Amino acid sequence: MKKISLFFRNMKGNVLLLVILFITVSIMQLILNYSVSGYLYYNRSNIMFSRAGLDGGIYYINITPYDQSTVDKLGEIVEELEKDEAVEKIIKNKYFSCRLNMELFQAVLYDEDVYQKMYGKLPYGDWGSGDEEQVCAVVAGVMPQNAPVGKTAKLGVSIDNKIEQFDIMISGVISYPPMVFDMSYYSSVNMTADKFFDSRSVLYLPDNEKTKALFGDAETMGMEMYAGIVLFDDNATPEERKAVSDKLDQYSEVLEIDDIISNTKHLVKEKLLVTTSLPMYLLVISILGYMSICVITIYRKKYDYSNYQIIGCSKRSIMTLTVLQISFPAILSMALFVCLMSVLRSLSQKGIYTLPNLIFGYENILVSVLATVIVILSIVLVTYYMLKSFSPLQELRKMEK
Amino acid sequence: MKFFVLVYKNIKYYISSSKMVFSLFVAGIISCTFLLTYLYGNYSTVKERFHMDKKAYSLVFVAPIELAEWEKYEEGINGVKEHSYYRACFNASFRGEELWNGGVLVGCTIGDVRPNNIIVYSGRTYFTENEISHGEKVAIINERTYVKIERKNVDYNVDTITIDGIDYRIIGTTATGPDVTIPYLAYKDMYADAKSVEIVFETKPSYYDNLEFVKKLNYDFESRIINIKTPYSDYEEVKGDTPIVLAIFGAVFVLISMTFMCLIKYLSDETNHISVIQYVCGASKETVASIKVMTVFLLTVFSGGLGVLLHALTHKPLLSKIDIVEGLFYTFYEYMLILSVVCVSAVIVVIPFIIGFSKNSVITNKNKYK
Repeated sequence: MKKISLFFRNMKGNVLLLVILFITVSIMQLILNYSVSGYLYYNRSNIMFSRAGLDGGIYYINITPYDQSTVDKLGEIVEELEKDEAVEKIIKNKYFSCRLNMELFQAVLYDEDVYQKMYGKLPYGDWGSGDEEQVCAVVAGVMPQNAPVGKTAKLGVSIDNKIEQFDIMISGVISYPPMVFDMSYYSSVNMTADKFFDSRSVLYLPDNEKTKALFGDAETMGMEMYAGIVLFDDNATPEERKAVSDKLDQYSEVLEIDDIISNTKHLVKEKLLVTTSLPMYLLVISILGYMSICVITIYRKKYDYSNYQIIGCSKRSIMTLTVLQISFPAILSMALFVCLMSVLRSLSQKGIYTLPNLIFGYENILVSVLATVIVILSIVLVTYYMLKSFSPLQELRKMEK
Repeated sequence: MKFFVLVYKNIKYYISSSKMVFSLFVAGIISCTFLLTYLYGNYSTVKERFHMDKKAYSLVFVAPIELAEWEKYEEGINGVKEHSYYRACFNASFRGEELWNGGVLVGCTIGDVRPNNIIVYSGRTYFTENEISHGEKVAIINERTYVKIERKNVDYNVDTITIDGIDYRIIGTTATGPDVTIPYLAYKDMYADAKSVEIVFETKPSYYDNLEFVKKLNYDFESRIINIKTPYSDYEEVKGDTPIVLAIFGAVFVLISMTFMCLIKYLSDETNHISVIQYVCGASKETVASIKVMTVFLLTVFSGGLGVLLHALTHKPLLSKIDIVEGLFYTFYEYMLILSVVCVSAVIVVIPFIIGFSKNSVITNKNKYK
């Protein structure tokens, strides 16, 4: 108790400065964590893109979907290309509206091979691809623990202006934040992988014969043929690839997937550099501020330290006391942010709360701790430098003089 | 002169008192100045508007200008990518019903067939090559016009809008632009003049080229132009906010630099005996206090100036890579502004010293020293 009282009593005289430094360090931590969370989001989108095996393919999108004639012509070309030997497969944007247990969802017909690779292992359940008897669906954009995984749900689909009910097995749920893969966004300036993902409530249904047989006409409802990804056969020559690209280019904008991936890598690097610039400035100022307070405190308290040493306190204990006193606001701020990030991470994983385009991971905690360690390290260095040749006798002699 | 010699000597005493404390103070103020400059460049709306990638000039004439006259004049301007003409018409109707009591703004553009900057509302919002080359009577309407006729269920490519007795087939609606946009040749078939002209350059002109161009326009057209909107108009509008922006960032600077003021206070206390000697040698209390205050002020300004200089030297090769605003640059005038903020902040920072000195008399200091 006495030690704690001494610890706080010794901080007297520096309170205002320590409060300013606490605010500076907290602002730095806040912006730093925001930058890291943004980086994690962009990075994950690129990882998912590459993991799905889309590299080497081309992305096409008709940018005048309101002009039905160009959409129809593109549809005809896509159908023709599906028979082309150079093309392995075409992943199309296929979706329609539905109600799952009376809640509005968007049903997406997914390519089993690509999507399963893209999302990897699901937090609850699986993709249900081994089930031969019934159509299995995976939900996204809902709290993972609340999803009716392993249960049969009622799926309402509008067919000929009538809502038809289907029983469907929910085999799994996508982790939170959902990052739903969508191919309907286009930007001519800088197309990156993150633009292919958004967060909404989606029901993933396999794009296979079983699903077609279940839904019949409903499967084609509301489907858009204006965007997709063409994956080439391994034996396709560059000329054949170019011919496919040229055909699509007549009624759509065509982009190389490799370019999108490289754009994203570039963006991730650039964004991290730019977004961390302000916290870095603040970190430098904080380090200098802490060093200043450390220097002044030691200069002013040398007489006290002499007394401590005379009554039996070791030099190491004095150093520890000084470092702890000065770095107290930084440690407090770190503790605050580690708690905050842990809570946000847990809430996000459970699907209770998240912020758009941000992912909270253990990296946030790591960065918060790392920034504080750098600050503490600078304080330790200054303290060591100033107290290494500290002699109580000399100090007392100086005072006597 | 003697006063400044004493201030200079005082600074030397500060350095010799503790080199470490002095270095930390200079480094601290330099880093605070870096932060202030960074904040001003990347987070100020004034700078953001300055760096917006706008390339268009919009000119409004007192009386409509002949298209032939303008086109002849435009031949003498380098780097023009596209231009648009606008004029008001008072006779616009849809299915026989008059649309407005007032005017309708008709425009046309020479440029891209499929402009990316037009926000699609519905239908088709670009002219085909054929429509452009033949000057077909087709029209793209804006949201304002659409709102007027929406209850009549507009049928794109079938319905027409009648302007000055000519029917134009409606092909789409945009969220922006004039009330009715028609192909360039269709406009020229109907009208020989324009009330307003917009020219878009291939690249954004520099601020000084812009000033020269505006000067030239004003000179060539004398009092015929009512209004000129330039790529820097938005910037000019908010330029007046600069003092407020700088005051806010200055406050941040003062708050953070306060952390480093404990260092200068320490140096000041450590060299108190010099003040006592100055007093004993005949300097008045005010003079002794002024020397101390001036020392603090000059040290802060000097360190701030060093920060500004270092930033100016390292921005292009190094610091520009971490700027949020792309292509950001600082002018000499802006660096001077930042330095002035540092000076004003230094005055604020000096206040606690003045209060400190007025509390104790030099005699007290003298006794303390004894």
